[in-house]
Amino acid sequence: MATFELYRRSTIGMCLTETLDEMVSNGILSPELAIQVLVQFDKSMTEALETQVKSKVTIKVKVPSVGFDSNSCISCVMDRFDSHILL
Amino acid sequence: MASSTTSGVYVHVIEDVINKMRDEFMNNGGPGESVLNELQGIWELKMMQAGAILGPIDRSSAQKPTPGGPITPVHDLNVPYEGTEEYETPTAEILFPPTPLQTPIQTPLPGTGQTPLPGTAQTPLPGTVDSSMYNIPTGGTPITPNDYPALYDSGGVNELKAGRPSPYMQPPSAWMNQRPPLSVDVNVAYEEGRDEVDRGTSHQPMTQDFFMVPAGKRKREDLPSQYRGRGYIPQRDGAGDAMSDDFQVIQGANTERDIVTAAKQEVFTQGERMSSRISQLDGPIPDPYDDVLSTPNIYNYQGVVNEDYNIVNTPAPIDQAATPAVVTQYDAGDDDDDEPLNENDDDDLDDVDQGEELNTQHLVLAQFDKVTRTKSRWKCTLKDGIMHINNKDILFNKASGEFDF
Repeated sequence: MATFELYRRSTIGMCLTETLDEMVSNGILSPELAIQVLVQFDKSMTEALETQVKSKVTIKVKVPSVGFDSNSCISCVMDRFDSHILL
Repeated sequence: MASSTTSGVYVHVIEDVINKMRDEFMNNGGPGESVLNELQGIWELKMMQAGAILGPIDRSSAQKPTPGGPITPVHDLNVPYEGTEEYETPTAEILFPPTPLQTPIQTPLPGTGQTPLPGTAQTPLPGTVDSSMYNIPTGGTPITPNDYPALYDSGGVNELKAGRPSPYMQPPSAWMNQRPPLSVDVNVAYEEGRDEVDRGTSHQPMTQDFFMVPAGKRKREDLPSQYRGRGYIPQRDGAGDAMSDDFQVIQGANTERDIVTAAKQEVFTQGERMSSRISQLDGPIPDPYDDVLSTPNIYNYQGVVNEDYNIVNTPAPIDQAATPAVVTQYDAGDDDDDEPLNENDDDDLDDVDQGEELNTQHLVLAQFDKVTRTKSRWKCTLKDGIMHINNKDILFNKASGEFDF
């Protein structure tokens, strides 16, 4: 079954990936087993977000159209987003 | 920093993963529970260092799904992790426990993709975090265990078939099937006393098929008439059957000269056809990914046309079988044509992605339910997401957003 691998880019996913990388490079763990761990992480993370997390978030942002720059714009969006989080 | 609820969810996820992987680690061939505990310890340590988990971890609330399983010892996370030295020098036995499946699998596999695997696994990875080993793409394509095949996947029988030659031979040409109905074996020398009528009637349909390929309106008695009554029917075969034609000529030839000469002429024409092959010289395979400057290499073999296509980004050459001309220019670029296209010719997109990952301070990872846009207003509904904003981890079940770009 295919899993969503997007959660590997989160903090917990990156920590797991780094750990597995170290263990595989040291020869403690086999690469195949490491991939199985990552797949299991995908499943567990998806299930946890579906069952354990109940929060709802609303985002409302208005970005100035003049001088539109994608990189700075995204940071600007996130700063305003932080202040509008409803948990 | 993480809130208590986020930290709790992370701890739950870690333990869930460890518990579900315990069987894989404990079964025959697995590294063992100590490695599993080490994995959990390092993972939690990194999470605490990143601030995603609030320590110390309360394990009393965690429920073990396998009551029969042994209780894992709690690591002292306040002590920095020290790697055991016994693992610093990996040996082949640790990496690849000898199994009887290794040797038979390796031989039929094609290419060189399998043998470098042990080498890449043993050498330490360069740099710090090199997740390219697992080929984690940003596009989210699923990684199957087939990324490390053969040596570990005993069930990958389907891959073995790729190296074997195709079991399907080309179907023989139509005229091959029509030999059995012959009442007379044409490979046998002519024998007197045979019933000419029978041969004539039996040969008629055969000769029709042999000689009436292009048109069916030709009279069917023209060609076969000269051969009727003889013991040999010359065949107009393809180039590969020149030898068999010689054989037939020798065997089936009578003392009559006209047949022999006619047959020999036929053989000679076939031989000429074989020897008069047009020598073909193919040009280099045009590389669609090369830039403008390399495209003139395609025209190395067309000396006259070369000057006209120096800079312009031109399509593939029209005639690749042209006679080779003197190569005057772009001799330095010939090496590029000889070398096959490899990953070095790719654009450096990976660096761009890695650069974006390093500079990403704020991140939202979620699954979208609906994304709509009206003029400059975007509306999206997301679910099951992780947000990393201003160094904070926030988890949500549902999110709705409105953006005005």
